Amino acid sequence: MRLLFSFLLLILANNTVAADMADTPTGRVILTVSGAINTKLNATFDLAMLDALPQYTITTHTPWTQGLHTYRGFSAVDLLDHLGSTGTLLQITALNQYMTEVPLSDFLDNGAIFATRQDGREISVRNLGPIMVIYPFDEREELKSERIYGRSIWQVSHIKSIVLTE
Amino acid sequence: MRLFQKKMWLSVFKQWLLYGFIVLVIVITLAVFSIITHTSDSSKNNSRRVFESALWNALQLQLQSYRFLNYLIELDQTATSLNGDAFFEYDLLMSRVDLLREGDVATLVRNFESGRTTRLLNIINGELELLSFQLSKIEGGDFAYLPTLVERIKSIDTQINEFVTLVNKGSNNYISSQHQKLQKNLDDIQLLSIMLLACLFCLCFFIIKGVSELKRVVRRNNALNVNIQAVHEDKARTLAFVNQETRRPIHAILGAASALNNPTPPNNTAALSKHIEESGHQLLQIIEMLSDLSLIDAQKLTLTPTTERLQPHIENCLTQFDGHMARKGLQSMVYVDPALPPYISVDFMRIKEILVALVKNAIAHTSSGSISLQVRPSASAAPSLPLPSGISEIRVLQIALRDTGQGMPDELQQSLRANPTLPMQKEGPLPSTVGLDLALCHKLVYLMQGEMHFSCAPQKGCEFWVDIPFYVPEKQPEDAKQNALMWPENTQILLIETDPQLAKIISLQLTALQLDVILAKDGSLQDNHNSDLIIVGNSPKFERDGHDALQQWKSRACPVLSYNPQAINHPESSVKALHFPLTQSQLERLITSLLTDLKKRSKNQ
Repeated sequence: MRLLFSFLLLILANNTVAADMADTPTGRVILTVSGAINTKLNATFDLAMLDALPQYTITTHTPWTQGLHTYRGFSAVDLLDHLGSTGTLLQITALNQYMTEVPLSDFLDNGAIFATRQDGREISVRNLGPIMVIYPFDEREELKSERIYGRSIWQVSHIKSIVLTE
Repeated sequence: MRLFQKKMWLSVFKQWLLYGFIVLVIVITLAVFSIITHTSDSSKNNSRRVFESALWNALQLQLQSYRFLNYLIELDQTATSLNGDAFFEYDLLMSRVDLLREGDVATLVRNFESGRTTRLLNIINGELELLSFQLSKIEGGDFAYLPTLVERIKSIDTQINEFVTLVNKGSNNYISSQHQKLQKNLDDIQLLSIMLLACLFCLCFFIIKGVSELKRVVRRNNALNVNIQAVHEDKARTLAFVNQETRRPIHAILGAASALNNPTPPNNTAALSKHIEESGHQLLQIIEMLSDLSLIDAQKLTLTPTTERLQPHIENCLTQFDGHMARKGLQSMVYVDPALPPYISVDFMRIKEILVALVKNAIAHTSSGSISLQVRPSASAAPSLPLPSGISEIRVLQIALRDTGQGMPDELQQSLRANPTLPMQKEGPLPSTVGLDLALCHKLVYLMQGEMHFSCAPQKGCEFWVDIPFYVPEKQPEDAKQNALMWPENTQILLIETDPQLAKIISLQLTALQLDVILAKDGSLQDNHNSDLIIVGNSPKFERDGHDALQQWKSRACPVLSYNPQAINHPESSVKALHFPLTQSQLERLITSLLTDLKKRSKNQ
């Protein structure tokens, strides 16, 4: 009974997210998603659309910022769910065209998020925004590695969802 | 004391060993920590992220400056507003500058080329900050500022290029220095590893030694436990033995005392009193022997040598058993070889205990016949001991005691053959197996650094040889000098004795008195008329020819000595009786008296 109730709540929440989220951006487009998604064209998002996704918070130090900061943002899992994507690997490109690949499992297992807020404020381009990939480094020591640092991309502008086949 | 010192030395050695072990463990711990630290440092030194980020961000700054310039050149000047795009591009460029000015990258870059990179970066930042005014105008649609803006960005290009070059150079130097540090750390780690390996080998050695020592201690502990058990058992046996040994004289005392306490006193009160006295002495002797045995076992018995005349001591030892031997009809004699110094330095009390034990054993195993005691120089080498003052040398005397008894049982012989100088036989014979007297005798002999040997034949008797070292005093007292002869030279003595052992001892005694001995070992009583004195011993022919012989000797006034009861008790003889134990002093006294009388009579005639 409890399971059934939880399942219903989840469906309701997903429907609520979908309903709250506008189809087209009204503000400045800060993120473009392409690849294995359910639209023929690229999906574009402004900050409001991204804020409509379930939000997660990580408080941690990072090698490229000073002091402890609280980051808030969305998970790639919710984003791909929203887009009906079955992608397992994200090819993420920054504003400077730097590109890296992050497996979706990092968002599921390692608790990574796409941060859009730093200490409650939007992250400017100058402060490596508007979107950063943040891992909970302080919570899990094993994340403090060159491999994960390389995936911690900032100034994210484009995500390509890729379905990896074995 | 020496053993104690040895143990102390061992203890100090073990203490140092323990200190060494602790130092080893500390060294190993330090080595391990040093290796961990060096490895950690090496890991840090090996971290390429910071200096690679510096170079990456510098190149990104250059790239972004070109992109920004390109954006401005390609800007659509017909647009009324740029909707923040220009500032967006500007922020992108400035973010690269910020990355180079903050965090670990900034710290690293600051040290490149003595701070020249920092100065350049500040200039670049300042120049770029100044562009914001023109940029806001362009953002508002006023493109008149665009050429100036482009020109200014172009002018910064030289500084950015120089900055990138310096960062590249600095990064290379930094990498080189890090590599050097890394190599040094690796060398240190190698050295520490070798040291650690050596220490581990040492530790293994210590552990192996420790384990073997532990095993040895456990074995020793087990052995000690067994020994403790054996001591308890021995104590019980000893107490049982004490009980057994003391019971007989105590019962004798109690019996005699009870008889004396009777309302009707017995006729032989004197004999009973004597019996009580003897039993009391016997009891006292047993207690003293037990005490001595305990002291020997505890290594507390000290020998106290005194310089005294040897012969009387030896003779007294045998004399004290005259009653006992007379009751058994045993004939006994003692001979002290004149080759031994008259006065010697030895623990006479212990010598007496040894002799008493041997004589008692001989009496116990001899039902008839004779017991002869000889004390003579031994052929054994004297032990090398420090000489006390007043002592000229150390020699060895041999006590030889022979009996004509039935011999000792094999078990007793086996027990007596234990040699305490051998490691497996340290305990020596136990009193419960060989008897209190022999056990004490055996222990005393070896305590005095002597040796004890014996030979036994069933029904033929035993002979003990006991070698005991003694000190020879530097000066012999005045009375040790031999007296002048009281009889002429070539004085002949006829000795009639069929027992070869008795004949041998008496011959030796007479020879020591410088008398010529003619031995009639077949017991013949025929005299060749040349004898100055006749000693009649055991002879089966006496019963038949004794009377005639005595008459003949009497007729020619030849003095006769005898221990033969038939001769002594002969009604028509003037035979002087000899008593057992036959000693040299007894013989000397009697012969001197007889031969002096003879000499006087000869002179008168």
